Amino acid sequence: MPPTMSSLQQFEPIILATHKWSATPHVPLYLFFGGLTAGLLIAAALAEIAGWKYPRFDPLARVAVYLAIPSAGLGGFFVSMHLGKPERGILFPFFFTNYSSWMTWGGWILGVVSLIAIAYGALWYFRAGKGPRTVVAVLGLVMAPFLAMYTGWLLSGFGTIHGFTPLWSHKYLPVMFLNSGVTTGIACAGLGLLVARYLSMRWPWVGVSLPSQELSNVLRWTTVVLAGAILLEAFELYSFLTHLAKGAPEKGGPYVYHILTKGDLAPWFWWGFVVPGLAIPLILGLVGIFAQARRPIPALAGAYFSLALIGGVILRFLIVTGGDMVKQPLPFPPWAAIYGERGPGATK
Amino acid sequence: MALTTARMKFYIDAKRCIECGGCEVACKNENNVPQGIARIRVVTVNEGQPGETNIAVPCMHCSKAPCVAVCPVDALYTRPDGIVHVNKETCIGCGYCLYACPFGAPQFPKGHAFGARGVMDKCTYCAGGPEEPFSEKERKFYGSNRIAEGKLPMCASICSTKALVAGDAEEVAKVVRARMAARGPGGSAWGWETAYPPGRF
Repeated sequence: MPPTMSSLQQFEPIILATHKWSATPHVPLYLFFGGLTAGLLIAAALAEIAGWKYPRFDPLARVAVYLAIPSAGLGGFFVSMHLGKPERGILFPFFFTNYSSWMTWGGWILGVVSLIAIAYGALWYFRAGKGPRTVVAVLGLVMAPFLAMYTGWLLSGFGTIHGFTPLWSHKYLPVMFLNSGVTTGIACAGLGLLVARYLSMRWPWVGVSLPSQELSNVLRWTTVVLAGAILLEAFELYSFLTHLAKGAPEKGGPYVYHILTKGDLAPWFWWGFVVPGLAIPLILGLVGIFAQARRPIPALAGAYFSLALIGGVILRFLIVTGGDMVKQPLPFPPWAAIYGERGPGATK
Repeated sequence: MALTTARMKFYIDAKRCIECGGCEVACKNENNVPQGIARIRVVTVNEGQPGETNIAVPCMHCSKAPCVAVCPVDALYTRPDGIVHVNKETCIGCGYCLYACPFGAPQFPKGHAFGARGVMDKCTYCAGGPEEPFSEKERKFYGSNRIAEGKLPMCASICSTKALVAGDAEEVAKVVRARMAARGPGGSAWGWETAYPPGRF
């Protein structure tokens, strides 16, 4: 007899509501800004490399790294402020001593990536040559994925313990966060480029004065990469949901799948993330690739870039909140209530 | 014969707990537990239905505690006698241990102006904390130190049905074996496979 929803209430965590990570927006926003920083650095590096042959991509690289620095700062702010003792978190090189904890590694990863972003931004600000900029950009390209993925390893307790909740999967979450980071980074870089070009018309010192045809070309290629990232993210999401839905009931996977797709979180999942964060940006992006062949359409591009960003924020809130709602239960007595005293597979 | 250090454990007998809540009250009273925190609480599964089960859930002081493994600042540590403690002056209140713990033992009182939450509080096995035994600071931050007095945790001491058994692992195991032998198959100790995996006693 398959477990019913009433019996699946066993999976609601036996944890008192004592300030879990979903109680405040700090942790989801930290996850978002961490992924965004990584994505912006990746976008900047790719634009920098492309700029060797197509200099029109250089402004995109500059805008992306200028946005990555405050993004890293905001990530650090939110992760520090969620702590009980923020001052100890800020001074993590002195206090974080346990290297079997992903939180320790995360502090160092965020610190190193932030320094790379600052260095790369400084090279742009002080008009250093393209050679040194490319070296630092490639360094950022190598390190940035660790920033995006480690948050997935941290949530899942990968390598340390068996995993906290079915939604925080060590197999799917790191890759999803990396991909979402790339999506939001590209979207943010594109949106930043549009805003910077608009501001440059009024204040030339902003310095992003791309001719219309070149802007159109940059936007199209950025949108191509964005569309590819969204398609990949949609595929990973489908794989993850299938994994949850087909998982062993006693581990809570089907229950959290139900909560996400049909339960309490379903409105946010479908109408906050899937439709506005994936489907609409993808459709508008495909339209934009063709419609912007000769001239840019800033309103169209701005719309799908913005929606992709919003989708990334809501995804983080969904993951943290959903993880808090369903914790993997201990084997006894919850499964005894579903399968009987002898456990699953018993014939009597 | 070499002296061996006791390994202190809990045994929660789900078939004896009657949800009287005496353990919760005794713990709060004995340890001046902060408001909103329950170092031990009774969880009822299938309330009002056949098969209703009550389980008292304290910190299980696991043999290989996941909270100790994930704490970035090594605020959590395992004593030689197996009791897992937190040093509140080292704890940064990140909450990672809350998610590592399969029993939900770590809890966090509401924070203050800076910081979303306070530092972690949990069951101490009535063994005080890292401070000087019986000092005012230990009493204030961690509660009583009955273990140093040669006593068992308050919750187990007052449990009317002996659903909650505490003590040295060998002695507790004798109780478990006797009860399992009397009940037959299916009478396993709740949470033991997770807290005290075989070979890690």
